Amino acid sequence: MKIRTIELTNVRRFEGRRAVISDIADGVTTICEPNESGKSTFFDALQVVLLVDHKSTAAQVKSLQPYSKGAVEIAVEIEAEGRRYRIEKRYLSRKAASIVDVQTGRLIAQEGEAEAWIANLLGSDIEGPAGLLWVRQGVSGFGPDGTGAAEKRERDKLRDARQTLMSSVAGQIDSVTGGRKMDAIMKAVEADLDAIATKSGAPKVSGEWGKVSQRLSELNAERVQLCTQLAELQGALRERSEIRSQLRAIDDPELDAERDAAIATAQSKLDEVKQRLGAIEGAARDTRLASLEVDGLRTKHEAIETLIGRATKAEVDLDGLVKSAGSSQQALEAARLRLSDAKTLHESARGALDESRKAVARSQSAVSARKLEKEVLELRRQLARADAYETSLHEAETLKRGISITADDLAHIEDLSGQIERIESRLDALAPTVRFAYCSELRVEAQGAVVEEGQDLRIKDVVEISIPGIGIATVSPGLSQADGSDKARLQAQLEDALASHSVENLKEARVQARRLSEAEQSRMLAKASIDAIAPDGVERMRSVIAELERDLANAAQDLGEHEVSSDGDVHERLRVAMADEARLRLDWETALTAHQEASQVMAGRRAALEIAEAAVADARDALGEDAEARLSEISILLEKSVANLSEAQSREDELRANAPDVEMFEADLTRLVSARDNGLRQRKELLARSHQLDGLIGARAEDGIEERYETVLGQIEKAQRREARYAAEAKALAELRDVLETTRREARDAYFEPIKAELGPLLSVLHSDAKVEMDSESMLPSRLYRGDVEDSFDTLSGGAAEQIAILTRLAFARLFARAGRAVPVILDDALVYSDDDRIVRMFTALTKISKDQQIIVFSCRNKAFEQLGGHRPRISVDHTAAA
Amino acid sequence: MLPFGRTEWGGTLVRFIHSSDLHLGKPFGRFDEDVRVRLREARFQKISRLASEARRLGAPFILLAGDTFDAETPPPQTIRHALRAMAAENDITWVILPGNHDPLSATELWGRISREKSDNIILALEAKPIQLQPGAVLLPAPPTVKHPGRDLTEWMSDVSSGDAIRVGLAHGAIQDFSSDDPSLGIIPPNRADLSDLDYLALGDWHGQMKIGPRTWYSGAPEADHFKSEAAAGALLVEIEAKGVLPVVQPVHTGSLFWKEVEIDFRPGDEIADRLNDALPPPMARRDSIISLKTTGRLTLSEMSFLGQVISGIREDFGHFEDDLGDLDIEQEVGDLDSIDRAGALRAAAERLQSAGSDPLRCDEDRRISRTALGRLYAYAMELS
Repeated sequence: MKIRTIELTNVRRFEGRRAVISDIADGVTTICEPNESGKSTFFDALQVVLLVDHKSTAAQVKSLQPYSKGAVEIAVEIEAEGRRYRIEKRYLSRKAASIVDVQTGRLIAQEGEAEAWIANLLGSDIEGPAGLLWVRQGVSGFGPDGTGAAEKRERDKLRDARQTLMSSVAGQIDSVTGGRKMDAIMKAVEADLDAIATKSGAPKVSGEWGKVSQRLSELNAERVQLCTQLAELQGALRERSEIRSQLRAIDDPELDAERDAAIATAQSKLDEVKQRLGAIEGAARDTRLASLEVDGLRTKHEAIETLIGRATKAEVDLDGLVKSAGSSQQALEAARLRLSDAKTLHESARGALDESRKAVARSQSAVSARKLEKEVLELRRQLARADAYETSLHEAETLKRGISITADDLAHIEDLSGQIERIESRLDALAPTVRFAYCSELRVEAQGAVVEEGQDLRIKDVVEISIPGIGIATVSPGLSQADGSDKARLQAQLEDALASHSVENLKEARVQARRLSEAEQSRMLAKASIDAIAPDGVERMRSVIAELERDLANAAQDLGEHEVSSDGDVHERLRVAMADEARLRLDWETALTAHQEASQVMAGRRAALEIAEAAVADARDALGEDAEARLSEISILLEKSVANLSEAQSREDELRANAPDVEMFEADLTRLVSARDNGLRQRKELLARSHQLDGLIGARAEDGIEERYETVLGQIEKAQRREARYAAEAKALAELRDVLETTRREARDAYFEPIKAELGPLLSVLHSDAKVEMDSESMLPSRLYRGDVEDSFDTLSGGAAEQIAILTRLAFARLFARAGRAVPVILDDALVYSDDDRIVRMFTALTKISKDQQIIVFSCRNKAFEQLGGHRPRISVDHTAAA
Repeated sequence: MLPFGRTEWGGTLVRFIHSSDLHLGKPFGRFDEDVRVRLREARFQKISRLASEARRLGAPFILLAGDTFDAETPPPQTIRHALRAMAAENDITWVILPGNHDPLSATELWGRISREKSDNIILALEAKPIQLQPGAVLLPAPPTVKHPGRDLTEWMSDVSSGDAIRVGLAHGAIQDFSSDDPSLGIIPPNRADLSDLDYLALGDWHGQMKIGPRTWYSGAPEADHFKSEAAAGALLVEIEAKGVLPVVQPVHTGSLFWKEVEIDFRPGDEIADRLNDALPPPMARRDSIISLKTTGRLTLSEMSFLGQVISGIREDFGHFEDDLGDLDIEQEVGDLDSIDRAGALRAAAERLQSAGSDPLRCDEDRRISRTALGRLYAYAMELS
């Protein structure tokens, strides 16, 4: 079907008029009119005439009625199957519908038949194309937005239309993708899988699989623990068995008897040996006694001999010491005499040294007094100079006090005098000259002085000229009054200045000023000189001189009683005295040392003498009176004892030669006893350990460790089987889910292949590598892929969404055409969001598809749509066509 | 029934119950708690069961050839209960031989038993002859440790007992001369001949087994695993006289029936019938411990039906475990149609079916794919 002409009569703004768009072409027809020219009215009317029964009073129809009401008339001429028909409908008043064959003028159908004819032409699902293929002004997507019931109905209607269309070319989607049955199975699979497994395929903690896994972990942990306990128990059983074997061996009565017999035999042998050892010890005792007797006699003999020797030696020592003490006494006396002499000489040298030192002191005092005297003289001379400067200072100050004129005052007076001189010079230069020529002897006098003939009388000031016989002429120089007054003023100032300083004139002022300057210079010179001579003041200088004079007087008094030698002499004498004193002091000290040594030697000799005397006395006391007799008696006894000792030693040696090895017998007995004790100790230890093991084994037996271990092993086996079943179930469900998802995705892809095949070339106009994913629910593009970039349709920009929506309609239009129901694509002010580049590409797409598809474009953008090309009819309005 | 110890002609007759491997206190940890309790209790009840059978069969002795207790240190309660139960059967003489589970080295155990046992219990703790009755001597070979590593029955040849009937009592594996591994067993199978035994009562093997005319493993009086097909029980042994072959008669004592059932399915099988044929009858199921393993192939619908049948009968049994993992799926278009005739679901089913039979994939992966397909079928059926 192609639309050729649309006529509206009494529709909205065309109230009482007829508006026509004619000559609509096969391909692209662009109707460019300004805003409010009725383009959308044509769009809505076309939708109503093709889709709404002429008897309808729906809002959609009423919206076409103008303010003045009346019947709404719409006529469309279409071309279908090579023939041209005119569809006319009148709504709301005198309702009518008709179909006329334009070429023959034959009425094809009217009223209800006309509606059926239209429905048959467009198909029962013709409600779709308006939304599927026609883009209403301001709609940028695939359908009306909003959440209202009407919008939802509209969206559902459009979806059904798309689905119907897709079904007609690709079968029922449910039958392809599995539909609700697939959804239900997938939901069940997901639910069953989610109940036991996580997304990653691991056991879900809260699920049965997770619980079994957890239980298995717990059982394994318990198994490890029980295994440890079991090993401990088995070890304890083995150890106890070994201990019991050892105890049986230890407790063997035969072995006990053998051990006891061996110990008894060893003890008996040891006792016998000990008896033999007792006889040896008796012999040894006899030998020791004989030996002790010999030793005692020898000691006594030696003691007497020693005492005799010691007494003899003490007497000899005493004699020697007596002699030594005598010589030491003599040496001590000689040393004492030398010490006394040295002391006397030293004291004398010290006295001479003191005298020399006093002479040196006096010499130094005399030198100081002379130096002081010179100093006092110099100070007195300086003081005289200072006094002279003080006099000059007082004179200068007196002179200064008598002169008041300063350098500034002088400058002021000189300035005033200069000004007066300048004024007078000027007056002098300007003064007129009067010369008299007498004709008589009479002479004029000026200022009391005769003015001779030919004498120039310069009139510098008012001069009274006495002219004899005539009177007095007062002649004025004719000066300016200003100069006169200035001079007078300056003169007065000068006089005041001179008077204030009691001088008559400038010269005197200059003299006074010079005198003042000279007085100041004298004063400053005197002051500086005084400061240099006496920085602390003249009076202070005077007091210092007085003090020095007192010191000088005292020194003179001190020196007055003694003769003062020369400085060189006294020092030479002092040097000699000091050398003498040092030498004699050394002699005295040497003598002192020698005396002390001699005293010590003497003391030592006296002590030794006393000791020697005591030793002689002691030796004599110890020796007694009959020492020799006793010594002889002891010698006889000693010979007998030595013979006894020899005999006893022979007996002992004979016994020892046959003595048994008692250590060997003792070691044998010790070994046997130790072995028996060890056995008893080991038995005790083994029994203790056995009791410990009894406790452990008893406790483990009470716990039924083996049974618990076996139980846990069985439970582990059971849990492993269960876990394996859950794991297999999870794998099976996951595989089922994956396969279902894959096959459903593949089915959807196959289902939407026709529309994607149509849409693909169109999308390539916008994006070279663009493709879309279709949503099986909405039957619309849901995602757009541009290369690696994937976008949800909802997130696309307004321009991109608008372009995809229009291209999708074009694709659906082509599907309609392939289904044998070509329907025009109508765009009412579309592409409002597209930029210049994209709108040109869209024009290219429209032009491309317009080769076998009628496209009608309404637009108010004349310039922008110029590039679209195609046929461009205008809306013509017939103002006289009012019914 | 003849009186104890007398033949018709007045000679010596010895008659006893030969049992072993009671494994009292065995925990059975792999089972649920209620099953564990039943299994343990069933073993304990064997004491009175053996006694009643001995009484019924006129056997004054019950020889327990080792492993009466499952552990070397069982809980005192287990020991006490067992001794009390044996003491209660005071007309029976119990001869208890240690085994590898309760060897002599379990001194705590045997010490406690020695202290607490009643007079009708004889402990065969030494390799010394024990006179059972006049004219009959018992030659025990108690294991000293869990793995003694030597033939403990060897001493039996060294003992002379005159005309007395000689009964050996031992625990361990019989030497398998066909095996290259001599460690498998150390008791010579001809020990009875070597040691002039009239009968050698052996323990350790849980199934009943005749080694020779004079040598038997009695098996455990109560089964404890799926391997043994024979019913658990003991042996009644009657020896008329020295040198006469013993008369050995199995005595059924087991109360729980352990069975490993393997069914090889094929498409078209009557699932329920095959299961019922292979499993114990309904009345016996409460006392049955069943492990079902399936092989072969079934269609998806048949597998689903198999699952439903198993779910329906599972609680009939004392314990029922199954392993359907080796059951392949028979490809049947109708099954896949039940999931969906076309579209994504059908494609998913076909993909899983292909993956489940892909020979290039490992068994585990194929099994998972088959399970996934089974789940898909089940989901689809729930929604249909």
